[in-house]
Amino acid sequence: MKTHDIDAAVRGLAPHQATDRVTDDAWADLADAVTAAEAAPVVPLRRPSQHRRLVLAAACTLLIGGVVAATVVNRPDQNLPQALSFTERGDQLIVRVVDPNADPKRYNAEFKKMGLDVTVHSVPVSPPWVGKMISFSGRNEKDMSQLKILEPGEQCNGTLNASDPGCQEGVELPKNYDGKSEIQFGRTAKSGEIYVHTSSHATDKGEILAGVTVKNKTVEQVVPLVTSRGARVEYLTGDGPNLKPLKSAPGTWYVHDTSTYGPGVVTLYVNAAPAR
Amino acid sequence: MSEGVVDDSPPDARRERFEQVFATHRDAVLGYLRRRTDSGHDAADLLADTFLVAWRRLDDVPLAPQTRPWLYGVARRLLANHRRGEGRRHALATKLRNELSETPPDHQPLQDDTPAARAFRALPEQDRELLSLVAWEELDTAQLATVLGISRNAVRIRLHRARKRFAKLLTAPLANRSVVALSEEVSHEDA
Repeated sequence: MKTHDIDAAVRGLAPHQATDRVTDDAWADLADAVTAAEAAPVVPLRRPSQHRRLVLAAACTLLIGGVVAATVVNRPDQNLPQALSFTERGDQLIVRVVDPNADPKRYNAEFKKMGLDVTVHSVPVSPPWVGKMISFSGRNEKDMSQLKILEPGEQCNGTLNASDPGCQEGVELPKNYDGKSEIQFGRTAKSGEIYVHTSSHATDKGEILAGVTVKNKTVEQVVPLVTSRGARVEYLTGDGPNLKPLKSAPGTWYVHDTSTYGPGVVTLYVNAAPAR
Repeated sequence: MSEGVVDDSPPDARRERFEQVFATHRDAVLGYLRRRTDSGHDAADLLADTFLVAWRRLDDVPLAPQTRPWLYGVARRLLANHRRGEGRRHALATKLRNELSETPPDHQPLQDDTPAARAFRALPEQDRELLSLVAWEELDTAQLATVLGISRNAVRIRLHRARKRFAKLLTAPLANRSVVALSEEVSHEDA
């Protein structure tokens, strides 16, 4: 197929949107707000959303994977379960999550030995985020720009692809990285822990209510959906940033949304009126 | 954690430069985000974040013709974080958010059951991203290199492979499609 035809086929797939009519006012407001915002460097960490999540939610995927012509860095205790794998590729280091529930402590020693000021932690997360990178931080933009997130399937060796455990999320950084960084990846949460990261909704893929529609169902319809899955319910009401907890809600009230901040508990956002 | 950037230009000049970049490229960046998000709300927040980065890193923002690809590159990384569920909301884009329609794009050929749509959906994300940047945003090799943060050579190689995979999926019999998509080698030559 000719290049021209391929590109034309893709062009035909572009989503169409009736032209957004944005007022000059809205643009001006945004420009004002942006230039007045506090001057801390932008760090791709998840920040707690104002009312939804109690915890930081960051997802940088750490991909550590074997790459062609890579030398695997020696690790102590090769027989013990490995949380991460390290691979050198030229002057880059590729770090991938292999077993998210294994202890990453020894890798901090490895980084230190390599002269890298990088600390790795595993943090409790909701199920779909286990094994994924949750955050990485640096002191400033320069640190951050040297760390590169790798997708599943990216920079793996020839036979590994995105469905292989050895080819999952990871991060790539220069061997002579001169910054200071902390990396967090997700592990299974234990009972009573709070998720450092969770999905936007409890109905999102992999979460406890995955695939279930709850919007504008009544409380009495939704509660059994939660309890039959072995979790308990908590309630929040209000709208916008002004949410407050409720001890209980009338069965006739409507559920607007759901979220989950820890194992075994689902928060229902409820109101007397249905969501628009 | 402050960056401590030394900046000699007077605040007015910085503001002026930002306004110029903003006015020139805001519609294009909005379009880029709109084509890749489900809601105007998300697009508005991501747009705000993109220009927030541009403001804070104004000294890094390149001159034309690389300004727009640089902004797309920022938007792209923010979009990736967003897709992982960051869900960051802030007050910066309130008015903009309200003005953008709440509904998804009114025509989404990507979700149709046409051979092209099926083939496109079967591609790895990296390929889809590259092909859409070429076909929808009409970027050239140098601009693609800026957006993706890779060399021009790597762009050419990846683009060649992406087009090949797409063409193969388009012409492969239905039953073999998933086999074709998975059996392609991942590139080693990207540098």
